[in-house]
Amino acid sequence: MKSESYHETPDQEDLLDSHFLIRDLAPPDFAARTLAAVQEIRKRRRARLNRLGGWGVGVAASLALGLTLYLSGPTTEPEWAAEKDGGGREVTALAPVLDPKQAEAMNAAQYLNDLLYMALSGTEQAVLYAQAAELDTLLGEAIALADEESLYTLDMLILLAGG
Amino acid sequence: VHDGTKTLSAWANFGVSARDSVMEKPAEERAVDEDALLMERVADGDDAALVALVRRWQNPLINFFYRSLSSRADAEDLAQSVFIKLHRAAHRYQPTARFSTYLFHIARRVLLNEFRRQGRKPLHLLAPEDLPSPSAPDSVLKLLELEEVFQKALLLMPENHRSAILLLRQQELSYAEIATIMETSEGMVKTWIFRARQLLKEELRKTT
Repeated sequence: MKSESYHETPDQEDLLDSHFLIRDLAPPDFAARTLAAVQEIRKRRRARLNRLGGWGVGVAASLALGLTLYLSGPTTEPEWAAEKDGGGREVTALAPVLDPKQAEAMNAAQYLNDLLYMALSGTEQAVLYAQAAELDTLLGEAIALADEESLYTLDMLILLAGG
Repeated sequence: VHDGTKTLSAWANFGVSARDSVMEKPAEERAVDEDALLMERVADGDDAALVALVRRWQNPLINFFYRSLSSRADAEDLAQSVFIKLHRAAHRYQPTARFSTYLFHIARRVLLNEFRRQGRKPLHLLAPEDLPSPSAPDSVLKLLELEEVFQKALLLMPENHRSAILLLRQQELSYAEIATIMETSEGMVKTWIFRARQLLKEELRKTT
């Protein structure tokens, strides 16, 4: 591109032009290295997503186990106290009484359920954190592309958050 | 003041695909659209298209970064970083402007980020591999001296002056395109380029 004159001689312009020439600076393997870098990033990204997927399966399995334990836990069957009425017929007692062994089992199940709940919450937090970490990386990329105040950045953020 | 964000967001809102736009344009414009087609293929996961795009733009990018940083290794790293970002954003790209405008907008962002990361300008003015050997003839030494003076003068000026003149003289972009890339007005770009030229000529005049 020829530029307008600012009182300089053609020689000066030529000298400037010679320094602005695009030289063959790229090493021969630059394209291959760039492709390898892109593929590595793609691989890491896929591994991260797989890990997140694995956690998802873990959460589902934990939920299923928790539900199973909850549903199959010991029930409090009332112990009917015998009582006689006027007709000589046995009637049932009003208050259920827990067997100590059953109560112990129930407490143990409840404790297990609490543990499971805590494990589930922890896993959920881990998943959330992992997503946040990934989003943080993507946001870093977006910030490198544009200023925060530009609409372009917003576009990129939406793109990256979705991608 | 030029609203760069409006122009940039327009890239994302343009509804015509690269293939459609190629069909509508005369043959001389198709070379430009080759980039848009390659970007579509990159978005589809075509690695060969990415390699083709890298080969088309590796030297313009590396030269731009080299003149800005004075380090070939850093220039290569930053150019690679631009291509990685380009790959990541490929499925979002819409050809509303010349591809070079889009590419150098990313490149300048990467460059500014690098300056922020470094927190200082590089100390060396020429890459070690570009330094003259003691046995080089006088004419070569003179050329290398001029090169060093030129590079030093480039590094003396503010980043926006340097980027503007590099985009004009090295990358042969228009004032309007440079204004879009640098998110400023054409008038401001002209002012920066005028000052950059004055400084470069002054420094070279001292040597010659």
